[in-house]
Amino acid sequence: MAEIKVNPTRMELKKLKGRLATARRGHKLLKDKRDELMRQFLDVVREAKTLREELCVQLGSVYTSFESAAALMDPRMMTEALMLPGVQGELTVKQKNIMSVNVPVFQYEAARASDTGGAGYGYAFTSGELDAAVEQICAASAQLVRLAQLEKTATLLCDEIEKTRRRVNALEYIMIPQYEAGVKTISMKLDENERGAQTRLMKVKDMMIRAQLAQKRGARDEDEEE
Amino acid sequence: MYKIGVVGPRSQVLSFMAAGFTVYDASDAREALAALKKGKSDDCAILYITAALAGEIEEEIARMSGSTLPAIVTLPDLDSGYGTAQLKRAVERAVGADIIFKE
Repeated sequence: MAEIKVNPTRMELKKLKGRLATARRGHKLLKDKRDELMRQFLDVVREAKTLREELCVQLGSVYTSFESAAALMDPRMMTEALMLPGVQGELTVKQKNIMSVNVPVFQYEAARASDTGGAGYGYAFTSGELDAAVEQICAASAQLVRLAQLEKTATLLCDEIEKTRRRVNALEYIMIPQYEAGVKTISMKLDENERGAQTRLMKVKDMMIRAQLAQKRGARDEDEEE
Repeated sequence: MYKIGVVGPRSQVLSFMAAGFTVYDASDAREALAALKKGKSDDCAILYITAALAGEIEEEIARMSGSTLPAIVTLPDLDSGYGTAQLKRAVERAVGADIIFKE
């Protein structure tokens, strides 16, 4: 791991300690965010899974009925029959914020658009299978919208979880160890300097005392000689 | 008000017209991509796409799904299981291992 190069000064030490504290706080926050995102994501995925399984069965029968109707009817007649839908859905979109991820909230309200009693086409030239398919698809549309909302939420949360996890890991394994190493290096260097200065002072003091003693001894010898 | 679009071969998606969804006819990858772009510019909040076509333009769909809207969703069908596989992949990407779909 590449260490950060800093000048071993008290100023740098203070700065680095500040950054370390911020990194630690950020790491904790991001870890909490990741955990909460994960919890929400798993809930959404579980619901989406159940809903998709249900819809697979429902739409399977729609496809079958529709294929039978397509086999019985003229394709142009069929398109014509479906051209003006009997149901006009109204879709409104709101946004919800889940841990700073904007996810869409779809509200779907199906409203009957025609007075023909449902299908929106005449029954004279259409087959009974088509009626069944149309009825089933109208019944499933609200669930389809719900599925879209859940799957979109899951995709967006998944991307955010990936990003957050990378940030958490970068802080945990790169940034924080680097800062810690930097703080350690600087404090060791400062301690070393301090010890050096103290030893130097002691040495100087020792030399001064020796010089004073030598001076005193020299003065005493001169007195004795006289 | 937003619209709901369905992209796929006409024979497969025509039935959704009955529910008031806008149908975009597309039989190959190029057409599907054009249909998705058209759906986006037509103010479709949800775009359903058949599993076979979604498999062919997976990367483009992934690129388009970064924004909040539109939601591009694979139509549920019993045969391919593509939509379920997508969900499974999302779980693997987010959690690191598949903990929901494993048998």
